Amino acid sequence: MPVVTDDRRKAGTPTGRPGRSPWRPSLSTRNNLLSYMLLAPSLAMTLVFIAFPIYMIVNLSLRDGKTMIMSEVGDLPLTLGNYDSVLADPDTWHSLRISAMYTAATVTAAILVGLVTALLIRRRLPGRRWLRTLILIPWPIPGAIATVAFVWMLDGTYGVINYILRMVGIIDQNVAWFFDPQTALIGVLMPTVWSAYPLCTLMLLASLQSVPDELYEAAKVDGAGAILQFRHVTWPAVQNTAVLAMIVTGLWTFTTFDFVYAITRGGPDGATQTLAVAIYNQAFRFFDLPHASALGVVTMVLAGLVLLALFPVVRRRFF
Amino acid sequence: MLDFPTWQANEPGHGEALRAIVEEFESRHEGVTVNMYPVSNEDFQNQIVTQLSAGDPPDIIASGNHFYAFAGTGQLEPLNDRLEESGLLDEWEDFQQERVVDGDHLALTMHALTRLLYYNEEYLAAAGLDAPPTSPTELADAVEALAGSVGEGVSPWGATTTTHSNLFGESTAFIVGMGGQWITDGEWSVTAPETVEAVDLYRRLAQQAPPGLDGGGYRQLLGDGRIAMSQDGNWVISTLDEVSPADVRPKLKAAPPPFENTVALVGTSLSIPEGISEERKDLVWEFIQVAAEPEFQGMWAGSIDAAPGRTGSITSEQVQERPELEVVAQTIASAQPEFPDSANFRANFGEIEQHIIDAMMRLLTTDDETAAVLADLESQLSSVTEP
Amino acid sequence: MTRGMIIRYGLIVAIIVVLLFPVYWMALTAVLPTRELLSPSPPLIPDLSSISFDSFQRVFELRPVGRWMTNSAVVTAGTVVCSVVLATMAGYSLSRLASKIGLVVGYSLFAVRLIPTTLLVIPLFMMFSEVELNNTLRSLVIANTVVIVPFAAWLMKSFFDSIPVELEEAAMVDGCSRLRSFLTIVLPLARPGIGAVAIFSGILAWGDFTFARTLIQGDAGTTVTVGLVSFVGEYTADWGALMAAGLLSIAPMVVLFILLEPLLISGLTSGAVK
Repeated sequence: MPVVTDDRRKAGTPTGRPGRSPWRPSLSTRNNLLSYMLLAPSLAMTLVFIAFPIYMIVNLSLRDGKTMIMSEVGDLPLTLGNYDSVLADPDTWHSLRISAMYTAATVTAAILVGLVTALLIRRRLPGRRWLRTLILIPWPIPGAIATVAFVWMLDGTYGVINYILRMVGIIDQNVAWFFDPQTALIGVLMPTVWSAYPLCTLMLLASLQSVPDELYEAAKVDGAGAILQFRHVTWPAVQNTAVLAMIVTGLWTFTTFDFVYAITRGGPDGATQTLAVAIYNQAFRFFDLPHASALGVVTMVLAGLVLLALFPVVRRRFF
Repeated sequence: MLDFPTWQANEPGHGEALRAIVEEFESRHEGVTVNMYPVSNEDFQNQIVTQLSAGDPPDIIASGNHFYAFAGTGQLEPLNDRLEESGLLDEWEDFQQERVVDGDHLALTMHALTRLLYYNEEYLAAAGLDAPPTSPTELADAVEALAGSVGEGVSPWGATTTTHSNLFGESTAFIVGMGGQWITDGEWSVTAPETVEAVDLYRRLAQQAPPGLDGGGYRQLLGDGRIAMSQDGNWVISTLDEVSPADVRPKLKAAPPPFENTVALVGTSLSIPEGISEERKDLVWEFIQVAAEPEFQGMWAGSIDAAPGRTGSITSEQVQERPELEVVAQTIASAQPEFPDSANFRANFGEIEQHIIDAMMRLLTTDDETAAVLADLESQLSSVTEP
Repeated sequence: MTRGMIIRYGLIVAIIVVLLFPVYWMALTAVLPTRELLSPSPPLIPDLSSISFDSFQRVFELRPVGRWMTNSAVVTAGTVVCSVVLATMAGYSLSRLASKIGLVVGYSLFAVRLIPTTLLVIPLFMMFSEVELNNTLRSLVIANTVVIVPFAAWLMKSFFDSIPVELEEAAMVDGCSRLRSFLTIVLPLARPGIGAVAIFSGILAWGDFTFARTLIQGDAGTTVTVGLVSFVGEYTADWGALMAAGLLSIAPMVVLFILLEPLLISGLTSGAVK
């Protein structure tokens, strides 16, 4: 998710830069050829490993029967039954709800942590480079391993988080985080947010640094307090980036699998079964690839629809 | 090199016995090595089914309850001809029948196990109980008495309390123990009165167990003296020898489960996959034959107190040394199988197990009526397969 | 130092303490005896005398952590090389070609983001087993590269965009071929961008769990992420060894990140800092 933009760019050259090509008329066929040649390997790879797989997924989702061998897929009879059963299965809607909650909560929390951290290290401070590095440390840590650390910290008997919460008086009794369907999702959220916020910090920091200090000075002169400064100077400057960060984080959370699988594998009693985990369970636990594929197609269509609905917002802000 | 993944490689008792078989096999086959490696029990079934289904299996296929999922792929080699030729079938105990699908012997059973009641003598005495319970009612009363008497940080009962395949075996032990089964007379009997009663008892006890633990977790707590009583496999004796501190171990005792029926668990069994070369299949068969020799069959009795698959593998010296072995063998001979007598149940075990696990978690974590949860479970199971 | 700055520093330190607590707790668990930690009130600040590094030794006896790390390193190195080469080529093309088709193709690469990895892996699994690539580290390199390149290519594109075309044009006026001017003029200037793409893809490849979990079945190809997660169920009681393994497996990327963070940040924000 390297899409770090700066809102200044909006004012300058938009992506694609249709206007800015002074040398373009002189582009010879040979140059064109070179460009295509340079693009070809990536394109070929995408066709083979993305386009063909998507075709396979759709193909599989229309087949009746179980197989894991590609050459046998063509022999299975065609059917729409998988879509019938996916759409009729209450589990699908249950997973959708879990996915929506998981995504919304992660996005909200990650943006909040990202905003707070970015605001704190926005200004030039001695040693800022190191403070920034420390704040971004969770980024290079694999989600699966972060999860394992949180499993230990959230352990129902010896977990340090229970201890700290008891110490400060938030709870009286240890919470068995991953045992109770009420708290399992919170337990899974913690490592997810922990892994997700650094990117938000970074994106917001980039756009915050583009706000000239004079604006804040001017606001101060006008007598604006910290809250008013945030509302009238900071927020207008970062809101576009914040929306983009939310979309990027949201897509990432919606499709991620590591955190849930590494802890609860979807349990207890489906309390943490997101769509990504449901697809995995159907495919690699029950070995029902056609059902998993149909569920996947439905998921992709839903994600696509949400993105389309958001598109006008994005378009207004970025193009 | 023969690949041999197993979830038991690091398990006390099992690991040593398997390693001894590997070493003997390697010493007889110059240049052939066996790469035995551990796979966690949670991942084992998925991995092997994936490999079998994709036509790229490891060479030696070990299985416990996973067997039915493996057999379901249709990728296990029938052993009938080889068994007949070697005459092994005549030597084998009846529980080998649990590995026969449509007349094909798809695996050779190494041993069978049963469940025992483990208890901490000191806590029982403190609760005013001078002997372990011998009936379901006594069990419920004993746990209640323990709950009132054990101190802070000690739980009266231990059980698996996390989403884990153990939930199937532990709940089934109560159901079979109290005279029920998942399927009786060709009908789902998930909501039959005896099943509901058994599951209700299972639930009441498991709710007293420390939450969020898998099998390894509560065995450790039993060994540490932080659990007063639990029901677990008989092989756990050797695990306790290893994990329990010297001041607690002598207080831990085992007794027959307090039920009218005992459950026979078919332990490790070994299979040959279809997707490997003939030459490799022959080597794997030789490996299985080594494991079937009386010496190694006797090891199962010695290391994990199991009833060996080969009749008469327990030597009289072994029996003299550990009289329990005779008891275990006799118990298993009269025990009920864990799985109902239904081909569909076995063929769809993966999905069925998942539904049962989810239902058990629901029982442990919510206040929903036991009968209602079981009714939901029955309708889910009916939609998976005919009984 | 003004009062405002002291407060600001105080807040920053406080938030860093909270955010980095998981790493601290991993380290503490790895160096303290399990007996001290398995208590309802574990020591938040350790007694220095009880620190020992036994767990690190034990973990190598329990599981082949060395092999997991080697496998992860091979996959990461392979993915980084493939991603950097492909992304540099594609990024340059997207930046200078600027034709409609090129951009449409480029944007369509982003469709990858819509596909849950758990879904993409189903056909990949079948394809790889068809050509007997399953259970090889090569399959992981391919799968990781496939999902990384679309982003890496756009990252490189924005980086090339920031390099003035006039430089190449001047070189081409001097008789340099397009390819030559790309290799001798543009590429050296793009080094920070290439560095950023390399770290970025390294982090993603090292952290991959989904592909490693599904495409590798035996033990020979287990990577650190999958190995560690499988460790959890099996040695629940041995948290010291588990956290020691966790610490070892995050160490390479965390150290690289700390050293190269400025490069990564400047590379990722390159579109902005022209």
